[in-house]
Amino acid sequence: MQSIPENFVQVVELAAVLILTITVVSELIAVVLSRGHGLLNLGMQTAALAFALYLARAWIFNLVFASIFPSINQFAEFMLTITIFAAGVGVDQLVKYFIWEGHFSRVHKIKPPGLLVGIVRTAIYLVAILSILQFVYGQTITALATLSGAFAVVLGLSAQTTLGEMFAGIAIAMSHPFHIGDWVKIGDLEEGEVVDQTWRTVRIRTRDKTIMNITNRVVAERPVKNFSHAPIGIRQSEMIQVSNQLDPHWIREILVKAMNDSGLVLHEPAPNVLFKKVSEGLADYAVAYSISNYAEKPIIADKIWKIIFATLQTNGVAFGLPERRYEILDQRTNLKMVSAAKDASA
Amino acid sequence: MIRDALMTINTSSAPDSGNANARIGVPMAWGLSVGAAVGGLYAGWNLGLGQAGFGGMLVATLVAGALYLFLVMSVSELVSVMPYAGGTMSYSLVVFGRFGGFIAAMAVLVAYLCAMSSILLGVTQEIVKFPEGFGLSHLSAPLVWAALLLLFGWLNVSSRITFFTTALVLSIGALALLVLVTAGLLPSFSPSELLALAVAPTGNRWLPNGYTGVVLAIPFALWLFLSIEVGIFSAEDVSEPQRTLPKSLLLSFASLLMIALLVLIILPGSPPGVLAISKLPDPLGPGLHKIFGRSPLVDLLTLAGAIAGFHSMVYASSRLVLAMARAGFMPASLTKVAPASGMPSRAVVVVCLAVFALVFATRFVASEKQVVEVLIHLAAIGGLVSYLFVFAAYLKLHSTYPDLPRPFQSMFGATGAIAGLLMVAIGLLLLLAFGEAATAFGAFASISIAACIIFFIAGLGRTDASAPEEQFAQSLNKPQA
Repeated sequence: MQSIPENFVQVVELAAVLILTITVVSELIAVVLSRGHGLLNLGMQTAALAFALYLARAWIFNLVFASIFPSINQFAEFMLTITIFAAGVGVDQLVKYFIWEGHFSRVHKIKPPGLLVGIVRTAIYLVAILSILQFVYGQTITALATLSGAFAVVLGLSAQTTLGEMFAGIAIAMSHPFHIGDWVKIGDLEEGEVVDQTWRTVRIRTRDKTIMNITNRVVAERPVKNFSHAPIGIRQSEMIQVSNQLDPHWIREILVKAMNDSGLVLHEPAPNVLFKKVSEGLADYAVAYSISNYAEKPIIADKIWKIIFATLQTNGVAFGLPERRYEILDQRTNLKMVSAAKDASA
Repeated sequence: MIRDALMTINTSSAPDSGNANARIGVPMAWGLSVGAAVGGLYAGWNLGLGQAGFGGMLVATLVAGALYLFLVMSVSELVSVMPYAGGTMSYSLVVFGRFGGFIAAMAVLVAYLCAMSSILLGVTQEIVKFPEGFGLSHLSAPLVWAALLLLFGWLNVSSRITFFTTALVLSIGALALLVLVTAGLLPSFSPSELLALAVAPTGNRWLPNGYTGVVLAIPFALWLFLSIEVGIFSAEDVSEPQRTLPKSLLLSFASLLMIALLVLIILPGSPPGVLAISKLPDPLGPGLHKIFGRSPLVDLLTLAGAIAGFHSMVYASSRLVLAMARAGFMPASLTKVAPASGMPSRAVVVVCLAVFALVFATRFVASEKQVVEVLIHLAAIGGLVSYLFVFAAYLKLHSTYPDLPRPFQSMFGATGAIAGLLMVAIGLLLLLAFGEAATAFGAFASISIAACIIFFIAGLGRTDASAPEEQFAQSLNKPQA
């Protein structure tokens, strides 16, 4: 029974096993000391070490592993299994580093959708397990394909709706009409902030802080209005009414200045006051402004109203009170009576 | 904030001769590093063949190569962060404080002074015989010592360009000679000769002494790369050390590894065969004689590697002495540089005198052979201990200041440093257990204890704020306070 390298390749294997053993031990120490950093390297190096042990099985089995494994074939199977599985861990960590943390978090500053992460990770480990079955334990891929095909039919029939939700979820994740943390309005449903996307639903936190679960298919079918990625701010407007005796230019001037000075609204696009219409004794204006943070919409509107109120008050303008003139002609007395009535509901 | 501090210190700590540095680039720095280690390819490694056979020596060489790859990577990152002439001492001083810096400096100094002394003794043995070939009388050994020290002392003081050009020429010459010899031996190379050693019961043709042989061969394999790190001591003499030194160190390692594998395969596979080569004091000799014929001049060629190493080590030790003086570990007058060349003349003189004293002391010892053995072991122990400091400093710097700007980053990061630390520790244990180096270990322990006593009695713990290392250490701590 051979337990010493006896050709050039085996001598190189011995060097590789020695060096990789030391680096794997070091990586393990580094991972423990840094509390979990460097798992990717550990996965890759363990794979490399296991593969080296697999290649070196001719001499290293009798040297070290003969008392652990009943036969050299089982040793080889075990080492290949570790190799492929550790490679899977390495790929998973690679994807985590470059795609989830890299592309999403570092480059685009967004949380990767949990659904996509789950699907990709499952796929990676599924491929790893299938490879182990195929290459290590000799299960042919045809059998597996048939098995998984049959399984898919059964699953598809029994879980049609759930699968529909899942594929709708994938479609949403691919076209990304919104990201986690965006403010959206889906169809005619209440607007809110996207907090999560799962296999089945999109979760939205509405203004009243309740969570609304909308199934993926509903989301995929409805129009999605996204407030968080407007390129130039979101336009808002408030309607006010003042007396029609006042100069529209002056009204516009004082309100635009007040809003620009408030610091609450975007300067570009600039706030504006639009003269909408004149009705009996009243003039209607739309006070339009742009905001960038849609989540703050009600709070900003509240402050804007306070500013409008204060501005009008300091300039001696009363809020719209309709003035009506009635002329009643009494033929008998020829008395001309003039009365002015005030009606708040007009 | 740290980056700003780093920039100001880097620029202020560089010696005044900005223009002279501009010409010391990657090739010259490569020459310095290769020169320091190339001697290991000329002699020493072949004794490992006797222990482990060709296969075992190949394994030991690859393992030693991995250790030195980790070392070169880690040390390159450290020098890119702290480009100071003190090298290992500077990193230890910044990271572990003054006591750590002092002990690291002591280890490096022991390593280089002992290596230089053993080289000087070995080289002189050859040179004194030289006139005999022409029918003349023996030269006096102390005269040769003094002459060699004067020559290399002068090269180290004259000018930066002269020194680095000499180093480059010596290194290229030493490597070229190795390539020439292996090329000349190629026609008579037979692979079966590599496996011709007698096989012990536990071994086979590839590993004649089994696994024990491999373990015993590792200290010899370390010789192939020992002292490659001297490049870091040139941080204040080269242009753009943050880029030049990592590049030159990695290139030095690559060239040494390639030539080492070439020598390791060709030499034992050629006449007079693996058994004879494993016992020769100059394994290159047979090849040289085959190509150039026998003459006293050809015998001198076997010294090329040792001479290149001596040249580089005088330089490295003098920079270390300069940095020690600047940090307050040695008299401040040693920081003086020669006005014309900008080279630390007094430090060079001190180094040469120390080597001379050490070599002269061997005159009063019974067996010069034993002394050389102890000196070689001390050089290896000092070197390995200084590597411990490098790896530990690397790890501490990484964990304490992870966000520090690092112009060069080690490919292996903390893992490489931990692996290096483990390998050096194992190497030291092997040397202690099997290396028959008990005397050297005893000597090293005594020197360390003496260094500790000196440190505390002389009050060397007082911070000397003028040293660039101290300024850098303060700039590191400021933003955290």
